[in-house]
Amino acid sequence: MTPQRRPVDMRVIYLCIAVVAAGCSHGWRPPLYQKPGFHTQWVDKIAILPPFDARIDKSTEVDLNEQLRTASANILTDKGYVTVLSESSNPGPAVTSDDLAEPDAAWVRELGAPGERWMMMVSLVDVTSSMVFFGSTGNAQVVAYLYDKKDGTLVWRDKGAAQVGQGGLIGMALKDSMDEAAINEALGRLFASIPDRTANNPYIPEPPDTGVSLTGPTPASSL
Amino acid sequence: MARGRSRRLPNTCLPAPARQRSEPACSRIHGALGALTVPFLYRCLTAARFACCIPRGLAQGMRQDFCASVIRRAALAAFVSCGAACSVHPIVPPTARPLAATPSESLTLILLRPVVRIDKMPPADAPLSFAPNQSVPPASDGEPLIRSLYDAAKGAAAALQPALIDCQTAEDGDAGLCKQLDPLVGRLAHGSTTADGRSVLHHVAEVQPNCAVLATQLDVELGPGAYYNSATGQMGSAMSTSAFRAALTRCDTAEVLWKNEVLLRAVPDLDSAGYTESLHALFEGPKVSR
Repeated sequence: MTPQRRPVDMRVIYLCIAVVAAGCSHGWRPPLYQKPGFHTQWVDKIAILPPFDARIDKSTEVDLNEQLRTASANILTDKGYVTVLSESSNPGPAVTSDDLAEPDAAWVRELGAPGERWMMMVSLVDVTSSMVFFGSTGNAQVVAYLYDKKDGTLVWRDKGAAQVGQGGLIGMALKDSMDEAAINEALGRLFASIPDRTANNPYIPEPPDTGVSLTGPTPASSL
Repeated sequence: MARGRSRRLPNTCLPAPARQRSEPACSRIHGALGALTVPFLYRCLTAARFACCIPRGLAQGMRQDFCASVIRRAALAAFVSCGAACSVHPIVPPTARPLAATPSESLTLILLRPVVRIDKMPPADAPLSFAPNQSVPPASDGEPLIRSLYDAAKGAAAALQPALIDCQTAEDGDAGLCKQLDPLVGRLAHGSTTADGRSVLHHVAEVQPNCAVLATQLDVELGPGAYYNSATGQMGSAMSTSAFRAALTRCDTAEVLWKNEVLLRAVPDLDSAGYTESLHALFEGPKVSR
């Protein structure tokens, strides 16, 4: 008599997939700065401005538009937000990180196209890749700023940093892609503080008086 | 992944907060690939193994294992002790020029007290316990750094041979000017000013005509240290950085006469060569580069 093979329990496979997927996602954490009274639920469409290169060491070639701007738009879209690449001009060399973190209201109101309200600027602070003994590593730091054109203020700011690296022959061969991997990882962590747009965290129009708290769950409490 | 097998670099350059390890979850899976390649690489070191394992004998197999272990440990020790983190040099933009080359005829130079700003990179997997200013050393810890920045700025300013208002020792009216300018140091060191800042500068120019302010700032970002996980092959270089910035700004027009910035990929350590080189490069230009 041949022993009957036990069918593989699909639930086990699903569980494994879920565990792996959970390991790859970035859990929500509070941002470095969020304007008091502001809720990300009010944000319907995010216009992403041309990225700002805040690096001192610019020796690593980075396609800022592709690796920062488009990648940010993709991450936010995956989170359920409507994103648009704003055709606003680059902030220019005269602008510094301080100007982005403590912006002038008039400057914010001039950002982007008319009709766009929530403006995001992603800034590359540092990126480096290096061949170390027995492998290669990459580090990256990015900062993003979300502005409200309506009142010309910064409403959200956060920072993402990533440290990637791989030992062995494969790691040594991957040296050239370490900076890109580090930027991707840093962006993933950066936007971890923006909650996913889900049924529990839907878009809610901003109430006329922003001083009144929402009746629904706030982003922080809903997660 | 065996977290316990992760080796951290005993990098004395890094203070305790910077040694905190944050492991990217995706890299753990990605690192599994490395687990296959690292033993393979060890096996490739046949010459070293051969050198270790002669003469042949009954216990050759055991000796080979021993040698492989020695080689592995030596490789790890080499990475651990000589990691890139300890051989850091300042990075200076190629456009930087020395402060002494700035035209400064009949300028009165106001030397502001430098600012040291210490920040911590957000951890990867610390959802709700994260506090941005956690583990930041108290302000008093930055005092030796401030003093060293100040001495370097004063030395560089002396080369301009201007009339000098030293905010560290200023009294009476000059002390009042310094007090007005102190909150602007961060912005001025970046070579930028706000409308409010420009009005303060304009006011200072009325009291002290033909003046310029020299502002210096050190931005320290504390990040995770270097690490190597022998189980997965996953590794990372230290993330902490120190950004030195200085700028000379005219009071009456808020025009930036000179500015420079230097990046050191390490925590500032007064005794390290990298720190001394950074300060030198900040005021003297790109004599030192990677």
